[in-house]
Amino acid sequence: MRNYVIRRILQMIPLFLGVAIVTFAVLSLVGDPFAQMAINPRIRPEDIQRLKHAWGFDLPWYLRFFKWFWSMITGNWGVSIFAGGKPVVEIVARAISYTLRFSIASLIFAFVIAVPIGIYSALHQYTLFDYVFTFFAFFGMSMPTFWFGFILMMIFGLRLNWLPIGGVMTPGMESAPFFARMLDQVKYMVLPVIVLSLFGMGSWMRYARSSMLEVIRQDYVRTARAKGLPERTVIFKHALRNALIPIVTLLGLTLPGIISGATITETVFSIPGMGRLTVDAMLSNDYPVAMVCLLLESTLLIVGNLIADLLYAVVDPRIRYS
Amino acid sequence: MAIDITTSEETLTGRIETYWSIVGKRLRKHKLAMLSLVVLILVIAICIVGPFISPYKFSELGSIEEVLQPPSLRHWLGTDELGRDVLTRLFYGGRVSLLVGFSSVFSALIVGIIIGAYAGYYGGVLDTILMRFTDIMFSIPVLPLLIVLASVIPGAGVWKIVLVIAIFGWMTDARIVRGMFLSLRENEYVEAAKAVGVSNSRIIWRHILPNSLAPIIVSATLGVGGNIIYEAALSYLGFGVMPPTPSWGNMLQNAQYAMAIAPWLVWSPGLAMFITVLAFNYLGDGLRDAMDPRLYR
Repeated sequence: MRNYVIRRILQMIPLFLGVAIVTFAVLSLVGDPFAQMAINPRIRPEDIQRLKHAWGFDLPWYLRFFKWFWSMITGNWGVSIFAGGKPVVEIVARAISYTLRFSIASLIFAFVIAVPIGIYSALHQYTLFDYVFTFFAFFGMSMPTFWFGFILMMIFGLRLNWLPIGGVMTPGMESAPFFARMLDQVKYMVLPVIVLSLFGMGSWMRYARSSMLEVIRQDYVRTARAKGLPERTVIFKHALRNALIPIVTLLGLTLPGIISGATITETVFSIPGMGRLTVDAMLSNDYPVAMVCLLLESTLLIVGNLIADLLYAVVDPRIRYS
Repeated sequence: MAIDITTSEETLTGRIETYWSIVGKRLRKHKLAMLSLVVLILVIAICIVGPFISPYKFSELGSIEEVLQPPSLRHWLGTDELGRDVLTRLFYGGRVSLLVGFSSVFSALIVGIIIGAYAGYYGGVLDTILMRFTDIMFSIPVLPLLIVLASVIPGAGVWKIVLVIAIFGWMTDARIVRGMFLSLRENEYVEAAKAVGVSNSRIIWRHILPNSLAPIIVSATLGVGGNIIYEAALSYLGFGVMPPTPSWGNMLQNAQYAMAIAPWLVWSPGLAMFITVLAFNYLGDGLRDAMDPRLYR
């Protein structure tokens, strides 16, 4: 087991390097981020030179890559070119704090609703319940997220006027008492969280259903029934525990999304989260911020995959590590 | 005499059930998949025929009185902020969205099949290199890079979007095909083909590939729906198909700002897209059930 973990972690290093190279290459296509500055008469040429030097733009591309890569892994992330020269750490941390509250809420919401329904569907295969929720799962997986967002906004925001249609809090609420401020922010979370959980709910439901269907066909479940155990014990002790194995490991794969955010939903509801920050930074040529965002997101993807694999190996004794 | 022989052969071939005839039979029993197939054929037919019947053109600007008109007898689905007929744009948009969906899946499939086939068939160093490359592409945050590529590559054509989606869409296919090749290359018929001196490329394309089509077809069917949504998302963010060419996605782009006064602009393109994608998902699911080798016979 220990060797397996070590080997998997070592395998991450070349993968990480490869991802960094591809990211670097694509972002280089956007061009020189300092070219626009040269037109601005209020920025002195010396300053541009200094910035170019700091970011390695006076070096050949391969040296620039290593310089950049080194400063990334040593945590020396620098300051934003725009946004008043704020440190990148600060900008990213702020965006993550917004993204986290939406993504964690929607993950819990989707998981808690979808998994029991999926399990129940599997136990009552081909009943009305199963058909209704199978349709619901397909509904969730086929729905374009932003369009679903529009519809919720039109119904609950514009027509019924129950909930705000965008943003993260009412202006002026920053100084309100703690409880009122919380309540205000929760209102802003309802619609985005529903939109964010819809797709996840659909796929979790399908996944839980097929996982449970697989398990209840196994011999040990038949044996448990044959020896006269009550149905409840068979389902909860024998079947459910094994059906949950693949579901729990799938949680590892959702890790990257929790932090890197959802660009589309964040755009629909004007949430200043990571997804939006990444795209905005790339489009406005804010080189330092864009690079940190991209590398952070790919790191999370790699780590998420690793966690999923390791969890699988830990919870499923049938998997051998050699 | 000769006639007797042919008839007996015909009755013989009539009885033989091939894998594909069984799949067809099982698919026909899957009611939702068949319904989806009918819906998809209808949607495609309407999008192709619609523009010929419609009295309007997709880029024809209306007079000032015709701006943002709600649905009426003149304009069945209303008009948009430039006075253009929404129904007509929905037909053209459907053509564009379906074209992007099909051709991006097709292009990604070609890349995925080539990479997966060579990696799985030859194994060894080639497999390691190709699969590590696939891993790298898998670990890249797709949407931001899609957006950068879409904004960097010059041109505003539909084909640019197809290309951009395909660049980041082949990895799953490559992994599926590789998996199929890894197991199929151990079969006796491959060994037999090698023994009689069939070339490697002929074995790959003529012997193994036709036998690994089932999971590829399922993944492609689901992929068309997925890529229609991808195009729509890119268009919504402003990097997809460029106006005045309509697509279901970019018709929704401006709808968000007009939703308070013109909700019909939101309903029709989204509903068309949702129904189409839902049908692709159901059809893909039906195909997966029909082709499942564990349920075979």
